[in-house]
Amino acid sequence: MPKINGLILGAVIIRLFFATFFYHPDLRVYYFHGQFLKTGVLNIYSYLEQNRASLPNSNRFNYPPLAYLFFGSWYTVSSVIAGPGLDTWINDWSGQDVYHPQLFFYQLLLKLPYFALDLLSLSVLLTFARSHPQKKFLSAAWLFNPLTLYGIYAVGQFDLLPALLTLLAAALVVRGRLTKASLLLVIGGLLKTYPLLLLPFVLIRSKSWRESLTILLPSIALWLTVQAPFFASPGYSQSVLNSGLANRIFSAGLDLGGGIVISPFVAVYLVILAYSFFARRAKLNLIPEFFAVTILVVLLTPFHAQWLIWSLPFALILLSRSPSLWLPLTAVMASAFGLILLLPDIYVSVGLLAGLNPFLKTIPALPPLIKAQILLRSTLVVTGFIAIFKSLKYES
Amino acid sequence: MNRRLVFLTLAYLLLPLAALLALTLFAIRRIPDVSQPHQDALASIYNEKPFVQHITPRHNGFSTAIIHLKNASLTNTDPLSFILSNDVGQTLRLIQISGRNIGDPDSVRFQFDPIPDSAGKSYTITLQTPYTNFDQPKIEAGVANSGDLTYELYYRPQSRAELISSVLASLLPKLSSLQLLILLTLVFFVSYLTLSRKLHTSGV
Repeated sequence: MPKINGLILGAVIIRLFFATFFYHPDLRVYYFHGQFLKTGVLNIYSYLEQNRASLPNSNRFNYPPLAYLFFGSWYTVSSVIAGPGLDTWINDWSGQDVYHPQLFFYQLLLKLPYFALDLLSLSVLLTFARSHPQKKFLSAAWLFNPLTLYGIYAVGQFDLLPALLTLLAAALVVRGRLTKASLLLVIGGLLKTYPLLLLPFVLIRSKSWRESLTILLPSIALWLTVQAPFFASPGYSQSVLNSGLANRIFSAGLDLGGGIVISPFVAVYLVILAYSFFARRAKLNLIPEFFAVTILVVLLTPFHAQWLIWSLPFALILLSRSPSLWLPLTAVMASAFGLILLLPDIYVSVGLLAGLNPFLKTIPALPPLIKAQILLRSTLVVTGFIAIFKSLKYES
Repeated sequence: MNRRLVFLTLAYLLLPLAALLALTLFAIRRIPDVSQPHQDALASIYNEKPFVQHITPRHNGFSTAIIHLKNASLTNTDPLSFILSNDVGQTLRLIQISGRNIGDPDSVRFQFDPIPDSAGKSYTITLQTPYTNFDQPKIEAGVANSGDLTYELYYRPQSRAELISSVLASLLPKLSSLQLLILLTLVFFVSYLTLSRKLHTSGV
């Protein structure tokens, strides 16, 4: 099968290239916090609050507890493989980390879990294919799309993990396993908050209030079991409950005058939920809803690059079924990428190559290009809404 | 493999490398020289107490000093002078900025015409705020426990050959890591075989 071998070869080589040679300081921040797990620290929030003054990096850990467990576990394994040099590197915040002779080895090692998550995501994605051409399309689109390479392998963000859980949840809903699906969304919500936004769409698929409760109660119990021990911890509420997502959803307000402000995200989210309840309640295919909500975050908030990964699997499934989505989805991706590259942060573009040439860090970030940002944001919002409407219409 | 995917793979590999080459050759204006990165305290600067720091750049073309300053609550709006003098006290470069341009805190960049023969020579950086009295809000400079200023010096490469040799000197040790080579090989084969099996069993 030379065709497939060629496809696999290309996919593996570009992944290795991006994972090894692209540098982003966020990866070090995550594992800097994760390193404390192997020393027995279970409550990272209070540990950081108490020791911030003496630590070489004063960043907060802004994610729910399972994210700490994820990074801490893999760091423990990595430090056994790499030896004590990894500890020295992860604790060096003098700006010299990009000169370290083992930089590429450490980057590849710390990004290894992403390879597994990437392949698992592809496996789950293929279960949604209804025909051989759809399988071929999904394989190629997943393995060669720029978002995965940029967000996961270059920037080193872990958003693929909650994205995989939401995809698995969607697959379980198709099989009618609503309780398991909602539990997976809660687990996703214990890594990043956004999968909780998808939970109501699963709940409204239940056939009665009693069934809703049997779905909801285990989910709440799971969420509380993991989160409750941290509620009283200093720094927890500031780090997690006031997360970037929650702040960004509510910070973008539409002033109606007279002191009345509405959140466009919340308003449109409720419209999608209502539509799902009244027009699609009997359908167990939640792909259009999951796509709509995850892309809505990107459309109506000042998003981070990695947030695009949340909607990627759903967008590809929809695209494999409805080729008419090509144009709006391509426009969404292009305008979102454009907005990302215009951010005044060198690590979204030039800085990613700082591992190969550390002197690139001295290139100043772009000045704000307001008109270009407005143009791209407008394109993003319009084409994003077209994609949402078309996908809901097609799948209905 | 589909031609489009071959093209895409090559684009993913070659475009970043082309960007790296272009940026290295045409966009880099300064390269890090010596630095004192530690900051343990803050030292106030006012009219009777300028801050004086002796430095010795390692390379020719010394052109920039980044100094960590703090203008608490942005209240100081007085001028601050950056004076670079040589070992006999002769002023070589003088830059004046306003307190309005200093953040809370801020890494302030003082950039000047490169000094061609700076390698190994002693210079003095003096930070002065002649119009700020002791009892006024003051600009503060980051200092280490040793009393040294927190600073980073940069130089402008004298030629492209010097620039490329500096980049290669940093890059080659990273590429020649044996552990990296072993890990790359392992991940390549495991990923290739797993993906190959997955796609075959899925009937792709």
